Amino acid sequence: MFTSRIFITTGFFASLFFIQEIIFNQIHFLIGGFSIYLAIVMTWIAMESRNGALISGFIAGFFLDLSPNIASPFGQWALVLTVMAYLVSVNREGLGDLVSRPLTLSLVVGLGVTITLVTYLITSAILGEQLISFFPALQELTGNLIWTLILAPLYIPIVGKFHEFTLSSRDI
Amino acid sequence: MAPRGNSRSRLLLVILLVTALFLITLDLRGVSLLTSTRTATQTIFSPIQGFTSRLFSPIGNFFSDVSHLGRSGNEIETLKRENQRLNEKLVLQKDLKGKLMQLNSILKLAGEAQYKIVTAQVIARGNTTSFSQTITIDAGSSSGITRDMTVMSGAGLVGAVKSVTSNSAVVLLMSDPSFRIGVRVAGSQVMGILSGTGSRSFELELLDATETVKIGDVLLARGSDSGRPFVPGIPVGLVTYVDNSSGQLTKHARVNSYTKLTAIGIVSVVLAQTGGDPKDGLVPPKPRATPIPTVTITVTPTPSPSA
Repeated sequence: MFTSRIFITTGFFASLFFIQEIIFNQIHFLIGGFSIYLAIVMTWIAMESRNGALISGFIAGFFLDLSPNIASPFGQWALVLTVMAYLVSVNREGLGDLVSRPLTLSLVVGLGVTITLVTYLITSAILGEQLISFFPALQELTGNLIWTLILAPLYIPIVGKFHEFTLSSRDI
Repeated sequence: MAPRGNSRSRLLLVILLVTALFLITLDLRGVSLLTSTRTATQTIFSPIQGFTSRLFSPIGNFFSDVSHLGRSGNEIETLKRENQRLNEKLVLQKDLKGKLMQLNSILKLAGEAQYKIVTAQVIARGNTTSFSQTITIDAGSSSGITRDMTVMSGAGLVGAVKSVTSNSAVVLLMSDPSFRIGVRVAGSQVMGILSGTGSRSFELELLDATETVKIGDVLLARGSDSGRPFVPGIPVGLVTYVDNSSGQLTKHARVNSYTKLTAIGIVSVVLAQTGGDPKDGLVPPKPRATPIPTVTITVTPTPSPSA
């Protein structure tokens, strides 16, 4: 990944993190919360090459670690999203070009977000943090999955266009 | 070519994972640089969150405004807009009225307990990615707020201050799984530990298994040394279920909080307690049963035409 693309990705994720913290955290979503940040990051990772996905995952996780509402240790989200970026980039190679198959991409993103949150809970348990009870966690995960899938037709085309724009600058 | 690319990816993965683990280790060892980055984020975000909170408070207005885009400007439309404006005003007034009621009840409770308080508005809620239950308020160290102060609503306990910047503070809600508070039952003075579960109900564990607790018992905060993080006597919740199963070392019960944590707009932070321990003086009054009117129907026979 070239430096110019890293800068663009960082700026993009920073703006996204800002929007998530300022606007989306104010909205009460039905069933469970929705993280536009995770949904878009997962879409971005699914569109990237393996190295690009790894760097994007780490940067995205680093921004999430900056959130003042998070009680987990700094670096936990960077760890989780780097691992998820690797898993998504390895597995998506078998699925071919996802940009031309938005339905498959939506499912990959929805599943990716859910697995990311589950991985976060597992790492929280490993790091000895207090965990949320089973049913509230399940409700949160279900709500997140539903909203990620429902709103996919809105954010996936925008992320796709922006990703295409950054690719035109230069690739790995 | 492919194996070389794969090995490069693996090397990059290892480097990034080691960096992340290094950051976690630094944070767990208490390196202040990492903590201050979060505080810096909070300092930057809180004024903007305060602004957007006012914008999003009557959220229905926002969406209804969007739905009005692109309409023609004829007379009906003008009237509709006027109607809409009045509706918005009404929603805003309802919102303000709700906040005013919350503020009134807070002042009443704080007055009864002789707490010196700072009232603040909730400007953000903990995000879904963290699973932690927090809120951000628009008052901070400039208003005298410091870490580990009690946060309450008009109904009772809300949580404790977790971190502070000059103009905002993050409050750990009592529903957070890491939240623990020492409580006593009003009247019997039985003591226990109340824990958050991440949901609307809470777990109560009695310190002495021989003691009893029953449904409807009121729980009050036992209080901490010099009132931090918890001032004594503040209403915490109501026992809704008691686990009487034998063979347990401690007795457990389920509790519902007095404060509806998902619908708080105004809270207050207890800066100091000017009076002594209010003991059981803050126990909320039991709701009075509203009398159901009895409807009596008297049937009067109508004289038939044949009679």
